[in-house]
Amino acid sequence: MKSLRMLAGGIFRRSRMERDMSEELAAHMEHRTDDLVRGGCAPTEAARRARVEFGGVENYKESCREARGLAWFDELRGNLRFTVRSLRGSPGYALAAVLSLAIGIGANLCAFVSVNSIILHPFPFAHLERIMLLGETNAKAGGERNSVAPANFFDWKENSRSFESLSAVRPWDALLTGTGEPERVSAARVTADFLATLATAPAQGRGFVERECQPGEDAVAVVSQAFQKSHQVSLGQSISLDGRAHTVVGVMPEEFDFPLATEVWAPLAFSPEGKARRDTPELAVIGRLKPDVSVERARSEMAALAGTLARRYPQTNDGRGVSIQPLGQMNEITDRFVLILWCAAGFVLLLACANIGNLQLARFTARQREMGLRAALGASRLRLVRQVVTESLVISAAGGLLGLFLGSWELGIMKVSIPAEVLRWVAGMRHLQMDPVVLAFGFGISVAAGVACTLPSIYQLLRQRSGGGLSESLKEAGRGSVSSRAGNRARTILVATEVALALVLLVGAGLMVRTFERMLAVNAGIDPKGVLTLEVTPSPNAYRDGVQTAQFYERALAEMDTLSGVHTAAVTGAVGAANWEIEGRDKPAAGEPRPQARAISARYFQTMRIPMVDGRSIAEQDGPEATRTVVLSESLAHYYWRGSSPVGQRIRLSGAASPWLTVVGVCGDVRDWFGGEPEPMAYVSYRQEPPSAVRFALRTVRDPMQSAGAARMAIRRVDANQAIYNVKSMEQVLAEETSGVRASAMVMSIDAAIALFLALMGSYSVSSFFVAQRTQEIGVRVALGASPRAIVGMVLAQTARTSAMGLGSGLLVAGALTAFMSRALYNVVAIEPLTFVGITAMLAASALLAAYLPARRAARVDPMMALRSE
Amino acid sequence: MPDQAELLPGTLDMLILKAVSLGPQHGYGILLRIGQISGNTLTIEQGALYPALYRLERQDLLSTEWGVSENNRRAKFYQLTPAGVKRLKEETRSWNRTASAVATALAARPQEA
Repeated sequence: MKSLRMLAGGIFRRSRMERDMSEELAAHMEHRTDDLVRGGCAPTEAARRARVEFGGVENYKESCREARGLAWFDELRGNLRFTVRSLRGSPGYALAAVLSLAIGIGANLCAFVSVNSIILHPFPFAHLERIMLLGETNAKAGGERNSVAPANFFDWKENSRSFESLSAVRPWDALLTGTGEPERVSAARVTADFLATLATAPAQGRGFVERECQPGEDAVAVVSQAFQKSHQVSLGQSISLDGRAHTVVGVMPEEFDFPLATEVWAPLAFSPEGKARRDTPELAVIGRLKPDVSVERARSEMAALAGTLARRYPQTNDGRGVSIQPLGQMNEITDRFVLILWCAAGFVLLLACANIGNLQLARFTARQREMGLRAALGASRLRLVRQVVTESLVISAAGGLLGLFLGSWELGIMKVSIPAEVLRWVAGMRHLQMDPVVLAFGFGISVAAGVACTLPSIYQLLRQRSGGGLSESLKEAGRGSVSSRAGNRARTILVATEVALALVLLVGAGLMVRTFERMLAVNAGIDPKGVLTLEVTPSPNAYRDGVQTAQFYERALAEMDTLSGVHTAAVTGAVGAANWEIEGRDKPAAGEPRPQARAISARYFQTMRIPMVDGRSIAEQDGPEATRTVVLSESLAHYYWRGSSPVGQRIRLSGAASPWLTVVGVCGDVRDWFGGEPEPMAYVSYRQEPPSAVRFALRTVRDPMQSAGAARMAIRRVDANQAIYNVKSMEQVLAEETSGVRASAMVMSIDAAIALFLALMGSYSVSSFFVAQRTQEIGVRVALGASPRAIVGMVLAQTARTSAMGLGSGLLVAGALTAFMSRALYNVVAIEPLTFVGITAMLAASALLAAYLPARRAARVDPMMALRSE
Repeated sequence: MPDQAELLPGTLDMLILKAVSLGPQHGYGILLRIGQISGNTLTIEQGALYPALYRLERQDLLSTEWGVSENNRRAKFYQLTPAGVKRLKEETRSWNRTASAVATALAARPQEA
């Protein structure tokens, strides 16, 4: 701070001090003159002698300035002036350097915005690191994380000492009526201390109080700001949720988004029986750790607590544990994608730096004579270093500024292209923006990049032996002789590095693109083209039991079948499958596949074009009274029956609590879009196991969206009071699901393209430099009879050696990267050796091509001109 | 002119502080005074005085003020600050110690070695 003030003061006082100094030195000489005159000297002679005796005024002034402590400021001004002049002299270099830095810095800013909001600040809660997500694990079901049963939650809350507060959340698809068309809103029922746990207060009104968490008292609601705006509700007004009026008592702040995409919160009230249940995992639990408690300690405390509960309630709690995970680290996969893209951007910046370092080195070598001259005139070596650094920082400052614009522009494009669904479901994605942290980061990398670019030049400068080296360069530079070996080695290493980095990025981009392609391909399990989907969650108030719900679906399907332009209509919904077992066999061990279960209607496979492999499909005959049936997916059947047919065997989906189902068929696999592995599936009839939420799927003749209105109306005709949502074409649904990978592949490809370009630029410039440096030698060779072909060969051989070094090390890194990426992102495909070879060959060929132009120039060297060029 | 002695490195600052301690003085006056009090054996290149003065001023050992000299010319006068007074005392003590030690050493005779 003090030095800042001194600097500011120094700038303003500077002219005064200069005046003072001149006056003081003049006064000295006047006093001396007076004395000499008094000693009998003639006045003019006296003044001359006083000046001579004093010595070099300018020299002493400089020393005075230095002693006063502002010399560096004067030097900086000088350096800056010099930089501007020298850059103006070579606009091509300046432009290339600023642009490549701007691209690198822009890419990094954009990548860091994601890192900042998705990884560092996914939620706007104070002390996010202390907020934990708790779940129940079930050792019997493969240790999967689960929701928590109410009685267990209340036992945790009462007995745990690690948490300041523990709150429960029950997600709720509420049916909102009375505000125009019935609508489904994402809601959550929460305990009274929910907001306290998240350390958030409503923006208006209040949160819930303990009394409201009682049955009958719970008809109040807090709404999101977005909901308040879109539905024009105010405090005290009431809204109808699932047919019951709730009074709005509060509005949450705009940035509050938990659970993600929730629009309405209401109190979680339990009846005494509901509160005592240990067999209904229905709650998500969040907790705020006490300040001095580590996650590890909380884990061991909760494990002990779970053990106690398991001993006390072996029937329900045997094998149950507690999982605790920091809320901020829930987006593991997204986080990894973000980090990998950040690394890619970092590589691009490194490449840009290597490139500029290279250009600087070439310029530096060309300026060796000037540098030597300045050194001879008394500039210290450190001062020359400072000159080089100043020049580089000026470029990186310009690059940083331009990079900020490029980055903001890129961010704008990125934000527009993120599908609404992704925006809703990835924490922090809504808040992507340039904030002070990002700007500070941008400033930091700009400075770092500026300094990094100078390292090769400084290396060379310091390699030259003191004094002698520089004056040596006075004689040598410009003579076109082979210059210092240090410079050449630095240049070779730089280009090799560039080639290596470019190779790594190209392979990385290749991985992403292949992964994305495969994601699109794996969905071959179904045929999304021409399929329209609509989702409905019938209100439990209107449809009290499974029979009524199934009838609603059945009638809606019948309506849809009458629509023109619709080939087939089907319905599907997830149903529970907690404990899969096969009749007459041991229960499956941990790690063996367990199917998910879907209830479907008769023409579901036909509509989605999932092929039957064996037996028959779920059919109309599989009604509520008929034998319970099931269709298994191919990979599941293959795992447990090894080639023999499971048809006729019986299975159970949820242990003893569920009925035996007879296998009637085997259908083709559908792959999870993300994992790419076949999903083990069990399909049952929706009329035997009615799901509480469904998706209707219609195969249409033309563009599916054209049938959207008619399909909506079909459901309305059955019941106009149910909300219909997510009306989309199947293709759109899949596009949204794969959008993250598509965006990653796109960004990586752009990064790789930039990298390739930069590396080629590096290859070109080095080979040009090589040719220019050896013009004389080439002239001699030509004069002695070397053919143009031999000259081209000589230049290309140089490039080939350098590229080979780069490709070699690049391949090693890329191999490691591939291994890392397929481990970190479990869905990334390992790249085929052929692709590896292809990318390598492509890069090598383009590096040689870039070197070819200078090589041809070399071959055309006129020996006489070259020899005379000195 | 009498014999000229080479100025030991590091002693210029001490001499300036001493000269100024005898009363506020401008640059040329300091130069003359150093000559005077050293019996004209120590001479300083005139210009070299000023960087030293600026350095001492920056260390807050000297303070400055513009005034009028005995020749009726405008001049910048230097004066010791309290820190300067203290520094002069320290420097004098340590110089005397060093000087007497060196003198003792140089006076040593062969049989005492």
